[in-house]
Amino acid sequence: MSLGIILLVLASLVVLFGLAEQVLDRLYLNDKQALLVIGGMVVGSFIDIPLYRGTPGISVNLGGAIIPLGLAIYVLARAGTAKELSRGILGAVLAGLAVYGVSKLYDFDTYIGFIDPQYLWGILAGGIAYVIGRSRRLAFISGVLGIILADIGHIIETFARGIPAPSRIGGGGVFDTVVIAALIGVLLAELIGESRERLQGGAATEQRQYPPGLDGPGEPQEGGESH
Amino acid sequence: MRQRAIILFILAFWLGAAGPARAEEELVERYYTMIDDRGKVICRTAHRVTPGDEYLAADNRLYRVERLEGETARVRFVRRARLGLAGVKPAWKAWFSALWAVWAGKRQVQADEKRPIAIFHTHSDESYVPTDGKSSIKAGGGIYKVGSAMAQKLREQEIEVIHDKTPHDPHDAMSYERSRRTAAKLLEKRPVCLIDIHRDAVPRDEYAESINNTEVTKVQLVVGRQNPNRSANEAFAKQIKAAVDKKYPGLIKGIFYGKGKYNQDLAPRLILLEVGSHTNSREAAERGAAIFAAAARDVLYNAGRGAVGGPMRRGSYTALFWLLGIAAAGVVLFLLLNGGALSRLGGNLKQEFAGVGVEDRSDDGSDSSPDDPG
Repeated sequence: MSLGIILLVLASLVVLFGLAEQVLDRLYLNDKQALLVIGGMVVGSFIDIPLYRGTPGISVNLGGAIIPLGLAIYVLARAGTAKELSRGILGAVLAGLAVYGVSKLYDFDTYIGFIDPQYLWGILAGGIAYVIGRSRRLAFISGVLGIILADIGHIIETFARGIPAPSRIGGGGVFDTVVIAALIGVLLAELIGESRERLQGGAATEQRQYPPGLDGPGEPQEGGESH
Repeated sequence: MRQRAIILFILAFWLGAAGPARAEEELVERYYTMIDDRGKVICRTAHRVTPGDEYLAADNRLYRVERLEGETARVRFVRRARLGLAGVKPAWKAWFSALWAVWAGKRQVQADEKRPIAIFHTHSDESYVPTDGKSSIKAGGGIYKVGSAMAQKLREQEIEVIHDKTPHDPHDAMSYERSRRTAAKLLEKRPVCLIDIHRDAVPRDEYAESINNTEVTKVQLVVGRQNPNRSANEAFAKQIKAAVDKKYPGLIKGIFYGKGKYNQDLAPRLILLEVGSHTNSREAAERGAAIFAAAARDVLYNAGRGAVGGPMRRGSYTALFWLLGIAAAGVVLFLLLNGGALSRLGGNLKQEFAGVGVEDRSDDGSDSSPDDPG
């Protein structure tokens, strides 16, 4: 393999893991834990766990689905209030429905395709999470669970319609859409959140007038300079 | 919050419920026609065409889409592309290279390195109406036989081929997410390149070709523009075209540069092929695929190695440059958005290089070390 290709692959990995580290930094993890999670995802990318050996087969990948799912559940469990928890679950369900539905309507290769679907799922997850909770953590939960729920939708569809197409949830490992959508979702929420704060001249304070529906500072929330 | 959540829920529920009802419709005869400023038809394709898309025609003239008028894309001639080094070295160069390698003690590229070529099908339903009866056959399209024809021709030339027949149905926008998992598994087997074989959906004459009085179909290469590996994939596509042009001019219809990435971010040598259209016969497509495999054999198998690797290496460096540039721009944007981070970074750097403490430190305390050197 040529040096150029080796450097390109290495640089891609460094950029991806750098992004992942930045994202994990926002999910109650310190640097060591983040490194451990990334390492686990890389090694786990090679491990597929079969759930159903018939036709269509179902398997789940350790690095591309189980570890991100575990992390999403951990973040949900660390939610400070019942409201935060319910938002997390709502965001995940909405993202799952939206990804599954849009995947049927969005004729990517032919009539609509303005952006690659893999980017679109992350944008959907990040957008939904921001509208519901203005939260990076919620964006991660929506990204991971949104794709996994859409995959579960695919499993139901294959059984219902007799399509012998296997479902390999997270089968792309660390490059799977489960991971990429979560990363894009968090980065998008970060971008929207930080841009909004810059435009309004700083983080929300007690003096600020909140539009109806947006949370005031009196309840737990993330984003801004506190995170 | 509650109002927005309710609206979102209704919208998402509608998408989740209404989406499947609309999916899997039979192919509609819609395609885009690229026309230049003289009224000449440059290409017809079922791919979504948007301004900025490019098309490298069979004669190596590069066109760019300027505007859309319904399903007519007005294109502008950009330049005549140079495909670079094609195929293998001339015999005398190869002989001198071998002699030099032996004399210098260099390790020659091992012909018996037995790295396979991987073939898969994202759209496993795609079929050919004249022979298969339908344009789409659930999880068992005629496209598999076209892939088999290509695999067979490569195996006849002593190349190991992995022809993955995993179905990725239904044919929706998540097909590429499912085939990504197949491609990732194939990458674990260290293939020298990956080929995702599709068919187009345009009138028959767009792909119909005759070689030695035998009916075949042309082949179109597709390179994704929203792809960090684009330069490397493009170099690979041009190499393939140059090699095939030498043996069968016109067999490669062109290279379409479309929006999307078609999983090409996974590997610098992942290429998407359109072999014929649903309006061509599958047998013609099988012959087109076999001829393509025979002509592109050296580039496909030796991609990135030896003489044929030059443009690939240059393409990889260009892709590397873009990737690092985008990453650097992202870091700068992040620092700009995180108010004060840029000045804190400047302060830290100043401290590092000056060896003295910076008095005016940030106020969040996260950057200050209790044992700052004086």
